[in-house]
Amino acid sequence: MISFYRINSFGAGMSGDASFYGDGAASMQTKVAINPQTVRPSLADVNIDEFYEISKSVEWLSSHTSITKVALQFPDDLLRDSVSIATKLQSCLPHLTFFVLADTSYGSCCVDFVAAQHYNADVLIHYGSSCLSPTSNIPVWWVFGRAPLDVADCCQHLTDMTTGREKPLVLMFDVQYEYIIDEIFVKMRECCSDISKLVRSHLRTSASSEFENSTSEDNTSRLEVNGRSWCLLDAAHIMKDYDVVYIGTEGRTLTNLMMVMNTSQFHTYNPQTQACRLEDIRINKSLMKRFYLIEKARDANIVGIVVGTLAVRDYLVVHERLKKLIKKAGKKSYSIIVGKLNTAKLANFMEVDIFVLVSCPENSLVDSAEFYRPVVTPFEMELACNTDREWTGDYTTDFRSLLPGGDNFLPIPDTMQSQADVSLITGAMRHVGIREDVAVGGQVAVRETREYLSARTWTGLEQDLGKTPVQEVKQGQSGIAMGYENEPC
Amino acid sequence: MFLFPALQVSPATGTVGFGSGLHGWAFTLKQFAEMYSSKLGIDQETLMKKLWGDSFYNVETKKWDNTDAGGGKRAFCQFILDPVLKVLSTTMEGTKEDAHQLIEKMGVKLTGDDKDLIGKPLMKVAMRKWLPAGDAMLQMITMYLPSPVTSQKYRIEFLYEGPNDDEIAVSMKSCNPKGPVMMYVSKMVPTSDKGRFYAFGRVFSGTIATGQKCRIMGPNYVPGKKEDLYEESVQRTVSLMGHYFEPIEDVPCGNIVGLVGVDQYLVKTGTITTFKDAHIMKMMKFSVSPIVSVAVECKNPSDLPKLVEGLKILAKSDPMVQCCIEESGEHIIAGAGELHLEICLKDLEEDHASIPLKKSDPVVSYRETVAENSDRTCSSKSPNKHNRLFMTASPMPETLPDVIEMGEIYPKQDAEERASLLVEEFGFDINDARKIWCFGPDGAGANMLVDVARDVECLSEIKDSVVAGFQWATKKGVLCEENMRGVRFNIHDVTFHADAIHRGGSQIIPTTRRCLYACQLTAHPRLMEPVYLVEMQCPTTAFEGIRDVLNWRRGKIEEKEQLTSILQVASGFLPVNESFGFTFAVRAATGGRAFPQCVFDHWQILDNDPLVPATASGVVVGQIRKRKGLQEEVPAINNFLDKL
Repeated sequence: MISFYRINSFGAGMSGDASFYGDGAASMQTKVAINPQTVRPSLADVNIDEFYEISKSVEWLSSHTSITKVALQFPDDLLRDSVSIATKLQSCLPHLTFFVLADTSYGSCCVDFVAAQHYNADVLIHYGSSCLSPTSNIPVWWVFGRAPLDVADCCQHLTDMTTGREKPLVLMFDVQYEYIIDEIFVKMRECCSDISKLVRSHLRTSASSEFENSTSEDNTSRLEVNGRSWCLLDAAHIMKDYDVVYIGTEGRTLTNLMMVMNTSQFHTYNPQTQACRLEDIRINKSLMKRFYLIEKARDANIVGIVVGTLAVRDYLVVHERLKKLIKKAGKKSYSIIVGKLNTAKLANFMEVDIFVLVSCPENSLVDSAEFYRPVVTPFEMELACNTDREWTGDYTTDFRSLLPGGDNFLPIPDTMQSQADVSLITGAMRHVGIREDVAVGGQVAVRETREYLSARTWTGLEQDLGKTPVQEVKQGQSGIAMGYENEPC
Repeated sequence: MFLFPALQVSPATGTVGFGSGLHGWAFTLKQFAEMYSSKLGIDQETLMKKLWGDSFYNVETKKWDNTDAGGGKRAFCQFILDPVLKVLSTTMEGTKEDAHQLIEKMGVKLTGDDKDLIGKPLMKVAMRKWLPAGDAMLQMITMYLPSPVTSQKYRIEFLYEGPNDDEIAVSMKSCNPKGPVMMYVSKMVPTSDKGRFYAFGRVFSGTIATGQKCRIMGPNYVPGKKEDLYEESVQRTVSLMGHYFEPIEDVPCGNIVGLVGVDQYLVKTGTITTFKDAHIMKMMKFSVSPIVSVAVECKNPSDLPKLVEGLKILAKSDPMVQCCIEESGEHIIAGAGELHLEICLKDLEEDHASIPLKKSDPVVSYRETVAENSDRTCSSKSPNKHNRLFMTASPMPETLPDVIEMGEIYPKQDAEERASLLVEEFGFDINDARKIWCFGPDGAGANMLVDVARDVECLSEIKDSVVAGFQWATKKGVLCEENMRGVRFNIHDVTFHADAIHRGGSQIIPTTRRCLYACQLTAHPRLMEPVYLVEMQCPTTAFEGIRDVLNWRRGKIEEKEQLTSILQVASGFLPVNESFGFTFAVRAATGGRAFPQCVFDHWQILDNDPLVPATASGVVVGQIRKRKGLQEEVPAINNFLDKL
């Protein structure tokens, strides 16, 4: 049995990407935005087996004994293969029930286990690109899809580019090239004169046992960033001593890695264009932009915590932590769930000064230029509120590293000293921490939110009883403002 | 002019001093009158009058005259200028013996190492000891400035924002040292402790003492609210004397004082009081505004906190400089001109931040405006298509933006008063003038939003959202996200959804912004650039050179005045954008004989279409968009305009 399960985006008439700039047509004609880069020519039956590694999936499913329902989660751009895949799996494993999940509530890179639970799925197979965030309880199998790659060309380009470089290299890659990465790694080692200088990274998937095992070697230090892990050659080494080789296309994954490892240089190979390049200054600029947002967050009085995931492990813990931190910093917080973010949804909360998005690392960095109020990551909010924390240039998009046990954990100070300083955005004074109540002349200070509401000019319908002359009711226009019925189209 | 003798100064009354700040000497006629009074047998006051103007003295006949017909010499030259010049020339050029002899005759004793000095250093010491600048200044201050007891009576109503009869105002007017404390901090003076300042200012009421708990109120403080209000004890009160300071237990009103321990609560200026219901003292206004800016960047990203700290210190220590972070993440320092910025940058790099910096070239801020009325009524629809706005843009009458910026027409003004002013002076329709929704950007700029709609029900319901969109759009215009200036937007009609949820901020704010952008684009958008008023004194022979330099830099001479047969004063206008290196160019062109002074004067429309990339404005727009990381072309009108 194959059933389709669709979860509507939250908010009536607000789905899609209605940005402040665009004409909003997207919200009316529900078009699915498909990234043209990932759209490939349709595959023949044989290719589907290969591209989606059907046999491996079957093998994995067979290894679980007591399961009956399997959820197949697809991103929008792979949705058209869903039927063929489901049919194939069904024919291989007739005793199981398969159903397809689409139009994920948050990012399609995350495992939508809430949707899976609606149907009591026992396991889930996630198709397409993934942010590799650790999930809660449900077993997950990732199928990234095997994107084509010319190994010889790739190795040639990368070797040419990296020979003569002093620093050791870490080999990273987009998830859809995982199937071929061993081959590349071996070949690269052959090409590289100094083989000890190349380190490969592993993905956090159920299949890669190396991910956890890589701790075993004693004389190395293990690093983990956004679901990828690798071992540096020497325990004394830090990431600053290394550069990165990245195989994959430009996109959020790469941007994220570059933001986090902003001290390393990135050499990238794009398998689609077969071109190599050195990524440069761009990232420094992005970091500066983020710093501006941190200043904004310091200025804010009212913070909206937007929950942008229900799947990433510990999202509730970080939510609680943010609430506590924001309160300690003398600000007020609201928790908000809006599903997929867009400008219109967030602009409905006009009193909020800044939003913090709790979401998987890949979706955390929101370019908020078009938003009425900016959106920051939990790490940035911590920088703004936690007086013990200082900007060192280190950056993380993974909120889990802020929690106890994480790399960037710092306890919230018990008593946050009230600090006053100058805001570099407004040029006025501001304060972090709870202030002792200063006796305010005349009356008791009103809270920020109430202050906001009382400053609104419109406070309700003006009845103006008896002031307006009575008039006869006339037939008005009918339809909606997009085009009334009596208007020419 | 004779109506206000008290407001006039004249050397003959001792209200004008002469001297050199650089070398530290100065005198008034009073001092010389004291010297000569007994010798000439004339009392001081009469003598002072004789020492200025057409008054001549013949040494041989010992006679005074009103003309030089009797062979007399002008008294000012005879008794003052000649002796001063003689001291100057003898100490600078004469032999050591001559100089020492003369110095002794002046009644000045050289001590220690001073005796070995020659030339300029000797001149400085001699002049400073003979006519100390401090004495002349102090004498003038004590004699001619009104005492605080007298002056605060009539000054307070101009200085205090609160009512003129509240407790604190009364106490200030009577300069009562027993009343509640009220002090205005006018400047932050750096201490030897890096990053800390003395809050320097005048006590207007009460007595401020070490250890006293005070309320510190910034310029945004509003009575009854918590914003910009802090409470802190004064750690120390000090008396500042030049480079030195001396701790002092308390300071009564009428005096100036430096406070330790309150600097972290103030940006540049503020009010300090012990009176709970006090309003703030009025902010000082500067006649110059920051129009030239540079972006600074630390060479090492992890130095960022140091840079930020440094910028905050810089913002405090200079009364006018503005430091901010822009959305692009760039750290911007804005100052009055090239030279001012240079000094600020030097301070920042060497003292405040002490880290290596990367600096961009200076950048001038522009304004966006419109030249004509919108050629159509622009309509935009909300994202959900349930709401529609109809608006137009038009240029304000020419002088109105200046009037708004000078504060003669302002947002908090009584609506009727403003309306009648706009009708009489600027020819507004009375109905329009009454329905000005707001000014912008930041609620106070020289753009306005006017409701000209008739018979639209419940328009006030979306007012807040429309105003928010208007503030956003006027802060960042469509051309290159610079502030708008001198644009009047008119709301002609609105249709909206019957349900409040479908016409909330999320629908109206972005729609307003898009609609305003469409209006701007359809009303012949233009750029405005800042223009300096340049004044310089130069020999007549060098005038040609100056004119050429100005002309070459798109400037022009407006006026020139012949001072003497060889000296003239010229004034003219120069676009700020062309002013970089101007001083140097003028000096080069005149052989160093002219020295220009530049002051911001006005905004000038660049009269070519910024939407055409090839025009001068188009080039500027392109550069700014590139610097701000925007897409290169100005978004096309159809991004903002929705067809019916």
